[in-house]
This record gives sequence, structure tokens and C-alpha cells, in this order.
Amino acid sequence: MLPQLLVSGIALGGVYALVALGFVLLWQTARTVNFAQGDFLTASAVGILVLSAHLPGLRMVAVLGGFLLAAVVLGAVFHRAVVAPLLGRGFLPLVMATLIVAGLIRILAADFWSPEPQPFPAVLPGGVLHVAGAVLPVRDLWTIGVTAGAVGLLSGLLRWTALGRAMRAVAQNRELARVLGIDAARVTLAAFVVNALLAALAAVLIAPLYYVTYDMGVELGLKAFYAAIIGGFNSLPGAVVGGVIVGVVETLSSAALAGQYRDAVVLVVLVALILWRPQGLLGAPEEEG
Amino acid sequence: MRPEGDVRGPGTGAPVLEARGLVKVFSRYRALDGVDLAVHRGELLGIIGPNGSGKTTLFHCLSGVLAPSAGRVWMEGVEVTASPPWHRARRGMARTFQIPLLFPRLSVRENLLVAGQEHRGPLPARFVQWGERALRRQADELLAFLGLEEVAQAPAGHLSFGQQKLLDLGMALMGAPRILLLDEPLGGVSPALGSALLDRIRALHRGGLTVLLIEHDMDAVMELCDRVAVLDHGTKIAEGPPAVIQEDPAVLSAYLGE
Amino acid sequence: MRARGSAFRTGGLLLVGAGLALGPALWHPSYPLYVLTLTLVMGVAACGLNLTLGYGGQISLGHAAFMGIGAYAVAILGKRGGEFWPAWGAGIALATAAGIALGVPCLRVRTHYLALLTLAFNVIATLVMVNDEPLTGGPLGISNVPRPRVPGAPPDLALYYVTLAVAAAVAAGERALRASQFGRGLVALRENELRASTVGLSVVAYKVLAFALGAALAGAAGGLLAALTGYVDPTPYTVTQSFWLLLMVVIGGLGHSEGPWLGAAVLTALPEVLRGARNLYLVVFSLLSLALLLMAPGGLASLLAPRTPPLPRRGARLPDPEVPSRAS
Repeated sequence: MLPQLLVSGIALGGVYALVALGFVLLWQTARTVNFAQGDFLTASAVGILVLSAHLPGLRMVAVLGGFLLAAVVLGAVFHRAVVAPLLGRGFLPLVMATLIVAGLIRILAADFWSPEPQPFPAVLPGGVLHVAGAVLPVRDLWTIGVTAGAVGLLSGLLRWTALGRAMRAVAQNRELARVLGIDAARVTLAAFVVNALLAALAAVLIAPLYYVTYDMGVELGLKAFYAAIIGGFNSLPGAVVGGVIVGVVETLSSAALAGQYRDAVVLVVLVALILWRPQGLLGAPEEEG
Repeated sequence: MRPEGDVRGPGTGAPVLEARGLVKVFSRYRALDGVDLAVHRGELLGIIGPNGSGKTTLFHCLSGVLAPSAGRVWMEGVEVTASPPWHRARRGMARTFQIPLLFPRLSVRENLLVAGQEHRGPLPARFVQWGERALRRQADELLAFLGLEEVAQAPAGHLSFGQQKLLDLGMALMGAPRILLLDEPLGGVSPALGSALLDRIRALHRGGLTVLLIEHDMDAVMELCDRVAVLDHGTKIAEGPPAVIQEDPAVLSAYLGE
Repeated sequence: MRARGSAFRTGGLLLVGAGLALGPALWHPSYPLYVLTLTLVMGVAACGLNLTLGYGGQISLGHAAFMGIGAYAVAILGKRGGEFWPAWGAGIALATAAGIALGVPCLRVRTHYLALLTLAFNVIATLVMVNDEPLTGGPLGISNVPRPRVPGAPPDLALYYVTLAVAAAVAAGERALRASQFGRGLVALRENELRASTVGLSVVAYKVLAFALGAALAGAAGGLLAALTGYVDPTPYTVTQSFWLLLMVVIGGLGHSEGPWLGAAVLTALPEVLRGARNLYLVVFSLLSLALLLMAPGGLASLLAPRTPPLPRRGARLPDPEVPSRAS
């Protein structure tokens, strides 16, 4: 039982990690805490479902279309219309704006798409694998693989491309990067697009497991937020580690504890961790002031 | 303007401020490597040394801004090694900063008032404006002493750099300190303002205030200080009267070897 | 300019005050009276959040939990036969204690971690409210909450005037606090914590007090809300409601005295006005809020406040003036 739980936990954690990665990326490059993150996932899932309905039989096209839509609307438009005007006008107005966008997505999904849970077609192969006496769901293994691949791609982007280097420079020191001629606005836009794509990918991975509902993003976003914090809000690898931890803790505790207070377990772990190590597991202590 | 201080003369009684074996390590970098220091009542002790010798780190450890990796600090015989800055401030320690730290959106006068209010009674007293009138009187006196009356209502962030340095000094003085730590008060200041600052420091010293001074301006140091301690690479390499320090070969090589 | 703005403000305040004092007596009983009372209640809670967040600089994403503590105290003690006033007092005391208990560990952490701890507090509080049936009545809550009784006055009018009195007291108290040494110290703490510490300001005590005061006000508001609706259940005290409070404070103007009241008015009245639009009202409301934020990130109160010239950027400072050297 345990190996299966672990694999499932890591798979779930991988999805959280993708969303958490987006969080940290936006924080590092644009000093934005995007509370609409979870709802971006919802929007992507809904977008794909709507496209699928209009393009019967062309599922992959719908999925790709969904990714494209996400990149444009949740990435570029969101950045232009909401974030860019508020950057530098204070931390809170921006946070509130993302919260409103989150609420908007939920309302639009509930009123204009469907208030009822809808199934999402599986994109990854199903079935089980028998390994050393354990029964492992293939889909979970695929999820872990896809997530690892995405993380690898992102790392590659950041380390080996000019854009990635520019993003890291801006994340470390925005002013200096600007002085050195790096176009901070372009970098920020790129970060938002990447974030949108991460959310869309997470949607595709997780939506088949649970029904798609208009408010599925709330809990997912919150858990990804916890994951980012556990890992250390200024550490990308930390986001991955944090995501996996949250996924595993959640899977194990929902198997061990019946309903009720199981959500609290993750929280308690989190709070304890933060009190013990305020900068998260892999984060660097932030500068004072 | 009579700051608190004993006028018996320098070098008498228990040290107002004492430190033994101060060590401060940042990752691999040893900013302070075992520094001993004793400042006696009424004396003006200068701290000099090349850039990066650990002078400001020493101040941070003495004032509680940073916790030393090893070593201990006492104020008038009472150990304060682990005390936060506000605790030491209430015991009579005041300091200024290389780049003046102020409350930019509060007015100059308000900056002074805040700096003085916490020295008059515990926190609940803040709700009933305890001693506010005496506080305002003291602030007005200091404004005159520093020559800042003209800008008393202006937000502190609007002041020129030199005026901010004066305000920084004023804020340190509001608490009627027993010991004043000055971190490069003359740095980055015009000559006219610099000499005005020196006048104030001289007046304070003459009034009996104990002062610990970091400065690069050697003329000022030699003229003002009773004693001088020299830091290099986190250790104290010399200590004594200014005239002696000036001739010390170790000191000269520390500066020239830069 | 200053004098004219100030006269305008005083005039406006007097008008509003007169309207609030006399209007309901002519109006009641009616739905608008309920909305007005609700607005004042939320205003008190928002004031508390403004104190913790706007003045104290402490991010509190779980403020509705303190409201919940105040509300459930009134309901639970009422269920055991208590009257409103002592139950309300107990609720405030409990909320304050919770604020202190939460404030102390929060001091070890900064910004987003602080946000997290307060969020976690709210989530856990909601879990208790939903799950601890014997104490809190679970998801269905507790009904028949006691109301303040003023002999001779109809209950909803009585509650309104009690709420109005509380709101007025809070507004006046907040003004006094701002002008006090404590208020000054709190602003200084926000401006430069390190310097504040080195001039003797006890950082820990100030921050905890800012938390505690904010929590106390929220607890008071919670008790009044319970009395207003006549029952308690977990819904008005969830994380969503905490964000609602936060939105009130931000749209109203963080750190300004009028901010929380403006925010409460807009965010309580607006949904009522838009109620006619049925389904679309939430969408319109969200878009309007977003527009408000984009137009005035500093909040509505910042549009009304006298303009202070911005602080000069580093390097663009004035040259040193000639200061006479004093021979002494």
C-alpha cells in the first residue's frame, strides 16, 4: 500500500510543484504574488473543455489551443491589463487585483460555463504496473515523468538561454538589470507567459483525476501557495520540493485520517516548519527592509 | 544644551561600555576576529582603520543590531550581549549611522519626538501622551542646537544629506544617552556642515558625554579624541593616545598596505 | 488649499453624521436600515484591520477569524442564557487574547510567511467552527443570538444606534491613537524598523499591540454582526471573508483614517445596488472593484487626502545649505 501511496503522493506533488513554480517565478521576476494561480488552472481546464466541445474528435488540437489561449489571456493580457499598471504601486493593491481576477474566473466559470462538475478526458495512458509486489498506477508514473520533464525544460530555459539569464538577473536585482540594458518589461511578460503555460500543464495533468468544477482552483491554489512557502519563496528548486512534500503529506494523511481534520495536518506541518525555519527549506533569508 | 554625563573627567570609574573577544562571522568571512574594547566615562574614543576593517560591524555588535558569533558586551557592568537594540537604547546607548537612518515621511520634529518618547516610561504611557510637553521642549532645544529650526516641519526625507546627518545626531541625543556611538558623522558632508558637526561633537564631549567615534577624517580624529583604537581585518592592532597612534608603524603599514 | 479642503471635509463629516443619526429614526423598519447597520459593523472590523495592517504594517490575511471569535462568543454564551453585553465583552476579550497569541509567533517571520500564518489561523478556526458540533453547532451554527436591549426602542433600531455609538467611538479612538505617541511610534516603526529599535522603541510590544487592537475591534464587530443577523454559522468568518475585509481596506485607502469606512460603505452598499442585475452583478462588481484598484491603487481616501509632494529619489537631493558654525 505504501509504495502506491507514495507514488500517488509524488504525482500529486508534482502538479502542486508546477503551480508553485509559477508562483515563485512570478515573485522572483515581478514581485507579484498571484492569488489567481489556482484559478488559472481552472480557466485552462475549462478552456480546453470548451474548445473540445466545439472541435469534436480533435482533442489534441483543443489541448494545444487551450495552451495557446492560456499563454495569451492568462499570461500576456493579465500582465498588461492588471499587473503592469499596479507594479510598484504597493504590494497590496496588486495582491487584491489578483484576488479579484481569481473571483472573476470563478464567477464566469460558474455562470457562463457550468455550475456542475464536469469530467475531463484523460490525456495520459491509464492502467497499472506491477513492480516488486506493489501496484502502481501508470498515470501517476506518467505524471511524475511529465512534471520532471517540464521542470527540466524550465531549468534549461533559465540556465542556458539568453532570456533565462535575463530572468535570473532581473530576479536578483531589478535595478541593476535595467542599468545593464536588460528589458525588465519583456522579462516580466515572459515570466507571465511561462506561468500561464505551467498552470495549463498542471490542469491537463490533474483535471482527469477530479471533476472540473468552477472552484477547483481555490484549494489547489492554496496548496501550491503552501508548497512555495515550504520550499522557500525565493527558491525555484524549493518550489518543487515543497510541492512534493505537500502532495505526499496530503495523500498519506487522507489515507490515515478520516475526513475532518486532515486538511489541518498539512497546515500544522507548514506552520511548524515556518516557525522553525522562517525562510523555508531551501530559501535564502530575505534581506531586511 | 547639557547632555547627560559625569563631569569627573575621562578614564574614571567602571567602563561605560565594554566588549571582550567579539567575533562576527558572515558565512566564511570573519568581519570581527576577537576585539576587546573598553570606553570610560567622559572619554572620546576614536575607532579608525582601513575600509573593511570591521568598524561598522563592531558598532552593529555593540549596539545590538547584529548578534556576535562570539564574545560579550557590557554596559556599566551589566551584560547586554543578547539584548535587542531598544533595550540597550533604554539603558543609555545611542548611535548614528553611516547613511542616516530616519523616518522619511515624518517631519523633522516628529523624528526627534519619536526618538525621545520611549525613554520616558513604559509602553502604556504612550497612550496618554506621557511627558509630551517636556519632550517637545527638548526637541525644540535640539532643533536650535543643530540649526534645524527652519526645516522642523518638513518631512525628513526632503532634507539634504548633511541636514539628515544632523537630524540623525539629534535623534541619538533625544534619549539623553550615557554613551553615543557615531558612525562616520563627517562622511559625505560638505566642509561647512562638517565643521558645524565637529563643533557640536566637541561641545557634547566638553559637556561630559562619553563618545565612541568612527571616522576617516584623520585631522578630526586626532584633534577630538582622547584615545584612538585601530582596527585592521577585524582585529585591534593598536590603541593609545592620538599622538602615539600617528607614529605607530603597524598602523601606517595597515593603511599603506591597502 | 489646505484650509478649503479641511472645511470641505468637516462639512462632509457633519452631513454624514447628521444623516446617520437622524435618518434611521425616520426610515425604520426597513431593509436599508439593515444594510446601514451592516456597513457600520464591517466598518469597525475594517478599522481593526487597517490598524494592524495599515498602521502596524502586519499582514493579516485571517482577520475574519477574530470576527468569528467575537460572534461565536456571543452566540455560545447566549445559548447558555447570557445577555448580550457581557457576552460581547467576553468575545472582545477572547479575540484580543487570540490576537496576542497569534502576534507573538508572527514576529519571527516576515511578509509572506506572516501572511501564511494568519491564513493558517483562519483556516484552522473555520475547521473548528465547522467540525466542533457540540460547541459551535457545526455548519448549521447557532441561532437565537441575544441582542442588546434598549428599553422602549424597537430591537433593530436599538441595535442600529448601539452600532452607531460603537462606530463613532472607534472612529474617535482611532483619531486619538493616531495623534498619540503610540500612533507616532507605530508609523515610525513602519518607516524604519531598525532605527525605531535603536532609539528605544520596543518592536515586539508595538507589533503585538497593533495585532491585539486590530483583533479586538474585529471581535467587537463580530459580536455585533451576530446580533444583527440573529444567528452564527461559519460562512461570514472564512478566508474568503478575510479577503473581503482586506479588499475593503485597500479600496478604501490603507493607512488612512477614512479608508476602512469608505471601503466598508462601497463594498457593502455596492452589492445591494447591483442586486437587480442578478447573475451579472458579481461580474460587474468584480470589474468595478478592479477598475477602482487600477484607478486609485492607494485607495479612495488617497484621492481625498491633501497631496504631499513625493520624497526625492536617491541622488536627487538638495545641496547642503550654509549652516553657521556655532562657537561653543
